[in-house]
Amino acid sequence: MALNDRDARDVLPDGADARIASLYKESSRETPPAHLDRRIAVAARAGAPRDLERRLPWWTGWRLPLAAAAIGVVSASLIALMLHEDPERLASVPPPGAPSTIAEEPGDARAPNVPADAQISATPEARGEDAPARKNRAEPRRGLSERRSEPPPSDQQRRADAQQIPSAEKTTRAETEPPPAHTSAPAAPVAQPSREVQEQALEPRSTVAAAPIPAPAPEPVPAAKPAPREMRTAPPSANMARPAPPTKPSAKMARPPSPAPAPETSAPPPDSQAAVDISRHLAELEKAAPAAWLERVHLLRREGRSREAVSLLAEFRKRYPFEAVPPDLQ
Amino acid sequence: MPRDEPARDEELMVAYRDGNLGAFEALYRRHKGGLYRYLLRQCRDNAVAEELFQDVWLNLIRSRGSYVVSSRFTTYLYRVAHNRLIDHYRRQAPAALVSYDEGEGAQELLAPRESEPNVSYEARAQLVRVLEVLETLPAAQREAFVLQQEAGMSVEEIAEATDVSRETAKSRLRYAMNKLRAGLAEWL
Repeated sequence: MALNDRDARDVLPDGADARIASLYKESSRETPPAHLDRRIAVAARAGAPRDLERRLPWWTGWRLPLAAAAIGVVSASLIALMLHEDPERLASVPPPGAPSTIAEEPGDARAPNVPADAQISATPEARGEDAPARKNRAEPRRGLSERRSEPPPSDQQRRADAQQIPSAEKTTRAETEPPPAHTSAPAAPVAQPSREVQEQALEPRSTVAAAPIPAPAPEPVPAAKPAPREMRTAPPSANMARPAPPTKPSAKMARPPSPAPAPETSAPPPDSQAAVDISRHLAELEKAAPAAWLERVHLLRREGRSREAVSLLAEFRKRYPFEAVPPDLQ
Repeated sequence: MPRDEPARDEELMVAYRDGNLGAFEALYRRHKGGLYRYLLRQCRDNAVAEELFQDVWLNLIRSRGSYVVSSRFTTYLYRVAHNRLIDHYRRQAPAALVSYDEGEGAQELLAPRESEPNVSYEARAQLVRVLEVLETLPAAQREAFVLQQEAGMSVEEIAEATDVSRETAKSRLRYAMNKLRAGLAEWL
């Protein structure tokens, strides 16, 4: 009996109540039937494993989501780290869905206005170009990305370029008024140039190859219509994915290498024949030493082909910015 | 725990909560008779008492994961049984609740246990009379008495198990004892 003293006084004041309790104990001996015992025992056994599982640590149910979240965080951190430390390398890798050929490059001059047969004939095989020519077309692209990481040219080189610009302008402005260089090349299909000019427009868009390409568009083209140069010199996705590092402002990233603008923006647009000759010279001098380039410029001058000589010299300066140019050529 | 000292109910329940099936078996052996008789005295029907008895234990098995030792296990067990009984009363008839709270209860008597030949006629008559008088008690008073006798509860524990105040439980118990004393006066 679990009564305390006060309860015992209240509830069981005398032996009579003890007798009542004793009589009740004797009379009350019912027990549950055996089948109930078995049923409850089975239920208790069946519930045991479930309860053991339920008593696992609370975080066990979160293992899979936590693992997925951790993988995501680590991946994002790695990508951010790579973008921060080496954006140039990522920029040089084309995105998975990006076009891999030159003809499919966004902003290509062939894009909407060139007829299909012109596109077909624009392939190197159709144009009858040999392998070195194709290599020559791809070479400026590689050289551009390499040059982007080079240090800016010296002041002497800049002065040399500045001296080259007026002479080139003198020779070209007499013939036609050239449109701005960054709109000249894409404007070619808008003005529906000749087939030859279309082929010129299909040449790789780089600061190296853009200089000798003629700009036959007689009328100015809106600046928003053609693809800007920075879109051609670097993949668009790379530009968007690459955060602007603090040491390299975005304007500088979008700008071509320093020596490029002067000859490109003010380079004389030679006639189409000269352009073909320049291409031929470039193909021939692709693997030649700088001295051979200068020799070819001398030769052109002696032959009176001054425009070709100027263009070739400009190309030489782009390719070999640190090579000294003889005074007679300057 | 010492080997010669039986484990407390609360320790057994905690052990069962942690997966010890033997602890539940010990607990069940300890309390199955008292709980069954408590339910049988209250509902006065063997089939119903068996059903309620099974429900109470299954409820205990299901909710053992959330068991924490806050009071005596006996109080916990009989509180579950009390709530189950209240549910049963509500489902059966609202009048049963009135009877539980303030009525006189049914006058139906349990059949005498004539199957026990070794018990003398007078002794059997005493036992039958105890149950007869007990049946005449209101359900609440009967419950207080049965909880005291079967589960060994104090007044406070009876109050906790039946969800009433201590004074109410004490009053119910006193009334029950007085009526039993009056009904069994010839044998006291």
